[in-house]
Amino acid sequence: MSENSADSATRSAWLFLAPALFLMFIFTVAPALFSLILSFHDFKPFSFAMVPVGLDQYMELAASEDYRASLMATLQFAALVVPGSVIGSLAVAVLLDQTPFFRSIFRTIFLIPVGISPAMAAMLWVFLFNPTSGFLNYLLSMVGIVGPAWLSDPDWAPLAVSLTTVWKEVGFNIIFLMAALAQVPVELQEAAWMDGANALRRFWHITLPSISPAMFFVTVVSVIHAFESFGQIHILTRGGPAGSTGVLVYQLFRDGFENSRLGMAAAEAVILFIIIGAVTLVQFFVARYLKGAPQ
Amino acid sequence: MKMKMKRWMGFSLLVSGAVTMIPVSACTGGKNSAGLFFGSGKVKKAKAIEFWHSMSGDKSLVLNSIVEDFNKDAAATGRLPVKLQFTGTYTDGINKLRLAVMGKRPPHLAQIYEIGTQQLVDSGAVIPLEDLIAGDSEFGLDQMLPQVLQYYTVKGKLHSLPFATSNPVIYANRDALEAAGMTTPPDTFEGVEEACPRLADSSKGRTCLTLPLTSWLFEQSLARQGALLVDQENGRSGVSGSAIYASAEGRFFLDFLQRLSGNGMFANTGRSWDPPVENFMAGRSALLVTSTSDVFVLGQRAKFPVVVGRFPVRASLGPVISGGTVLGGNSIWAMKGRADGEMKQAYHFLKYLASAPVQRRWHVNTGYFPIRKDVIGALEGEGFYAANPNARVAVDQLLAAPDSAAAKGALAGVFPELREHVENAMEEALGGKDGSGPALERAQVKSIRALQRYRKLL
Repeated sequence: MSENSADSATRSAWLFLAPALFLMFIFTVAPALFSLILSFHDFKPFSFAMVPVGLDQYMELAASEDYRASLMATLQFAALVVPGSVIGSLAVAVLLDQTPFFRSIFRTIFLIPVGISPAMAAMLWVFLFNPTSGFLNYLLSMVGIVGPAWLSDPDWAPLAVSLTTVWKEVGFNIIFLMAALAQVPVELQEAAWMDGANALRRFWHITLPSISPAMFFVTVVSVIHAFESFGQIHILTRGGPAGSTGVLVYQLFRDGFENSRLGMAAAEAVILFIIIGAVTLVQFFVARYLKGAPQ
Repeated sequence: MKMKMKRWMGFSLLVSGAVTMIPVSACTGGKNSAGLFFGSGKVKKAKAIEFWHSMSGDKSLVLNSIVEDFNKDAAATGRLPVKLQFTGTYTDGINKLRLAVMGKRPPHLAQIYEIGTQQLVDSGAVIPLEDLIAGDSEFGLDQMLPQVLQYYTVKGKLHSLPFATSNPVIYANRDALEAAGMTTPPDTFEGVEEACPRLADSSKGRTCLTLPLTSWLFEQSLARQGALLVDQENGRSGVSGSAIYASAEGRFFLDFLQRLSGNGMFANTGRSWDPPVENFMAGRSALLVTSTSDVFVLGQRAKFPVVVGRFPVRASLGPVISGGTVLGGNSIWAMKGRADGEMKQAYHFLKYLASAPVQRRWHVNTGYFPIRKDVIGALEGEGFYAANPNARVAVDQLLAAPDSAAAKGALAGVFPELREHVENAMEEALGGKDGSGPALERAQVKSIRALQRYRKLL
């Protein structure tokens, strides 16, 4: 009897899942598998005539200094964006949490960038970053600093693109962090306060551990977002100058859709998949090692 | 425990897979799965001639009105109307066309940038325009400028209708010129360099020169020096397999920019086309080098008078101006895969676009130059060019182009990739990371690899 009902429960679970699984297979799993097949082929122009090239494209990527530079640009970008957006959003979330009066208006202000499409947001920054007529360098000139050529100087462009990304990411992250902060038990805070713990200690020993699942989630998502950033780079720098913002996704786009090398782009997608999968796994293991599994 | 771990692994792989792998494969497909991804039904009878284009802003408005007039006439005579479909940038446009051809649902007509020419010729997916004309004298081929036709004439056949054609010119802020005691922009690179300290004005926050850091201008500088970009006579006598950038001619333009940049005379706003124009219009740069297609907009919108000159030559080559500029812009292609009757109507529309009244309207409203001698002659006769000398410059420059492989411009199936390599070299040289020689050599090695891969694929 009980076995029977468990069986039928499983069956109906599958039944309910079926539409979602079907769509996921069509739009995610099948194309992903097909990418793998594509990565072993080249195409004649404008046709489906696939020319098998074996591992050639992977070998070319392995030997390519451009691809290595692109990998380094991606790591640099992630190294700037992830800490920036995680710490930045934590700071903003905590400040907003402490000032109930301004909370809703500032939360809305910080959320606006999330609502703007990456292309629109980046266009805004193109104007701000303009070296001669941009607002940013105008502000700098008021304090006597000659601002850099934000988007055309290889040393500054990665920073400029990261800044834009962090600006957009913070709004997204604070949604989760503020929700988590609202859940921190007030009794604990009060008890610690009674025991004479100062604000910093209370934050470090009570707030932070309490919101660590949210912090973990925000970090994982920020890393993935950093690896898949495209829109703002496309608008701001198109991967330049001199490849300094040519992250892996941008390289992939360029090979697939500018250079018409779909097979090559597929090979790059497979490698990117492996990298992001590995990075995400590592994060899950580290989190488990630090503090049991997230639920 | 094991179970849980597996679940995370599954989750994390799923998440990362979802974000990475869809983009490429969702947009492609394969021999076997073409049906799955695109459907493989027959193309239905069309209710309109589909025309895919990449004109945006003011230019799209002009194109719209030209097509509207055609459609009014079509409605009266029972012909198929033309349906315009904007497909984004040139790059987006050629990608959409490629996917449409692969999915066996091409439009009747598509506007494609000039550097897509070789790819389309090799695709086997197009009907050469000359085959459609089939000797129809009404088309007016004899009225068309050979300097324009030669770009799109491949393997001895005119393949597409040159539509929005342009070349690069130099724009000058007349106020800045007058302050420097000049009346016209310098006509040599050396002259620009010499005049720059007088044209710039740091008290007004004005640099001397600005231009988009695009390979197109590098290619123009080569052509102007009579040099080739790729072998096989610029890919005109056969499929090219080698690129020639790291020559004295190639280094010349980069060294010029590098020197100006070092003196603070060059406002580098990157690869995009709009920022240099904004810079110039805001009075932040005295000189601007860019496409002639901006000539009317700039003249109307700048707050100061604008003087236009020809793309500079290299004075050190001597008094002989060796090369012309290369045709830029785009052309319209007729696609295979649609019913013959529909293509006859599409041809009728092409003939309309190529006609003198439409060419004239297009020219005077956009800055792209007309492809017909009779239009230029008529405008000349009416005093249009006397009143608009700036518009005349690009036309003169075009007519002066010699019949040489350098001036015809290069053809390459992997042209977009070549541009990418050249632009990287330009940025490396300007970023001070390297000299122009090593930067161009690296670009050359990568470009040769790409050219040879393409040749092998054919």
